[in-house]
Amino acid sequence: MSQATLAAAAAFSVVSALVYFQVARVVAMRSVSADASLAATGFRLWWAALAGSTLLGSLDELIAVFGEPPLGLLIAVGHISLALTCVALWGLLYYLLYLFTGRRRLWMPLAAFYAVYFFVLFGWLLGADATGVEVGRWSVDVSYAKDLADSVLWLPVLAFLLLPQILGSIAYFTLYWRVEERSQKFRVAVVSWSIIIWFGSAGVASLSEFGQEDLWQVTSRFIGLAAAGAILAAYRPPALLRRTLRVEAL
Amino acid sequence: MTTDDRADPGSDKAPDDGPGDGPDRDLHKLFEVWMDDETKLMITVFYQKNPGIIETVEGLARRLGTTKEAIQAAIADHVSMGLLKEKKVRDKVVLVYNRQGREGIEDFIAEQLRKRLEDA
Amino acid sequence: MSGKRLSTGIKGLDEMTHGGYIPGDAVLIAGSPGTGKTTTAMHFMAAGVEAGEHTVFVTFEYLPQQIYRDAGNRGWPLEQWEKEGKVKVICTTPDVLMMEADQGQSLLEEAIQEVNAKRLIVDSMTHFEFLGSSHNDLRQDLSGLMNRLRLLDVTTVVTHEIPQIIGPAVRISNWGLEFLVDAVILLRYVELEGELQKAINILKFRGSDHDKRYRRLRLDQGGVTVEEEFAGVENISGGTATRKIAARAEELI
Repeated sequence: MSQATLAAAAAFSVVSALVYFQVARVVAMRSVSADASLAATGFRLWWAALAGSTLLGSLDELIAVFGEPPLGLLIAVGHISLALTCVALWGLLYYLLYLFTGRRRLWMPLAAFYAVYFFVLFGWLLGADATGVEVGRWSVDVSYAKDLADSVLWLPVLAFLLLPQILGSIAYFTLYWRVEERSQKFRVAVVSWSIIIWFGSAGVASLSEFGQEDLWQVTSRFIGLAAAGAILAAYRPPALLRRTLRVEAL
Repeated sequence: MTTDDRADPGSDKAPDDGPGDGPDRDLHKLFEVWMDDETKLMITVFYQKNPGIIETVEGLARRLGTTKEAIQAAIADHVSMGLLKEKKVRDKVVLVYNRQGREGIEDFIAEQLRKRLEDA
Repeated sequence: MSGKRLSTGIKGLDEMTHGGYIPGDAVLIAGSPGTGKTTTAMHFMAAGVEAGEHTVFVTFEYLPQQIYRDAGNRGWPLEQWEKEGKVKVICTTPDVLMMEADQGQSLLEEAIQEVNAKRLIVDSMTHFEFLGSSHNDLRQDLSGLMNRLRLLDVTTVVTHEIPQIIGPAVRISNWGLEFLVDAVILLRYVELEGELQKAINILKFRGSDHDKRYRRLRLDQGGVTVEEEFAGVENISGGTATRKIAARAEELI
């Protein structure tokens, strides 16, 4: 039974990753001024790194369909995924900070922060002493001698993983009233609310026991895929949406 | 008029200036003296290039990076030739390039400088 | 007011001032080093030659030969104009100029009469601060000079250096020069998109409405050009401008 659910989880992840890659491609096609180029790159990196991290996650799940993945592989994938996540968060936050402040140089302190964040987490994971692989119904995880949730770092780590996207998206949504073009308003609304719902629900689930229920596992993956699809539609709206809402593709 | 002209009456003209006349032998002799004096030459060239300068002796010394005494000694010939006019300005004396008598002298000086450079 | 205006010699600046300077006014062009103050003043001189109005150009620090060279590089044959009696260049010191001012006809007034000048340029007023007079005395003396020039119906353009290269503008002068003149034009550097750009703004223009926006200033071989406004940009007066959020959102969302 767990093979079917793991296969489904992997499929969800692959499809989601492909959608994120496509969003990265679409936003990459936009030409921007020299001043905004780094922020635009940051936004592309967010999508591309998210895609990469999601794809790596699907690799674990796919291998687990056929047998227990080697611990070493899981740890390596986890570390690479962590690095990609930090790159993605840097990209998203820099994009938002540049949008609001116009200050290009913020990339430096932000990069320094996420570099430190990565090494803190990396050290934390190393110190947590990985003992084996846990193959669940929907995911494959590394088990540690020390319970990460018991650590004093647990909440700050979770906060810095989820809060930037949620708070950033709320701030992003405020641009709805500051942009003039209908298509821009559409993109702002769809992108910001997709991320808020997606990461918000993940955050709530992480903090509750409901997060481990099968129903939630399926629901969360649909939420993730729907959010990714909505975001892609924000940049490349289908014909029906273009006609109904009178919005244009990027 | 509040500024009084310390040069001799009629000093608006250069000593040897006359309609259509070139500079005479005294001018040539004076010019030979100048050519051997770096400060005098410097002042001549300076005013040639900057005819609008109105300066005290001290100010001129500052602009040329030299001493007031060196300038004081050097300008006597310029004033006597009529190339420079001295004007009293309250308690100061300023040097003004004599534009009216300037034309003939200027051409002469330019020609002498050119010859000097060719010989060098 | 008759409504007659004198072209500044710069098309964009004529637009900003709604026609040019008001005859008889005193205009202050203040700015950081290298922003084009002297060149802006020279444009007015050149416009005067074209309009048949003569100019006295007073310089304190730069020698006339430097002024001739700089003007020549911009296509203005200043030495030739001087020979033709259209312009007179005086290089002196503020104390010589000021000492004369309150005793009948001054050297400056003589020069103005000599070429029948209707325009005066003084480059730059910064040197008056080195006279050692108290700010109060200096202000009074210069106020007297400005009034004498108004009586002579001479339109005066003076320049003044602001030592600050970039950053929020703090003050134009230490002794209130900006209050003695009728118009104040500010030239400043602005950091924008990683470049040091130049901006022009009219702070004050007594007796007339004017463009209150910052406009781009270009200084090159041809002189000064006042270009379009800094659209979609804010905090220019802070020295480090950023594009407005709407402008950023336009290209990033």
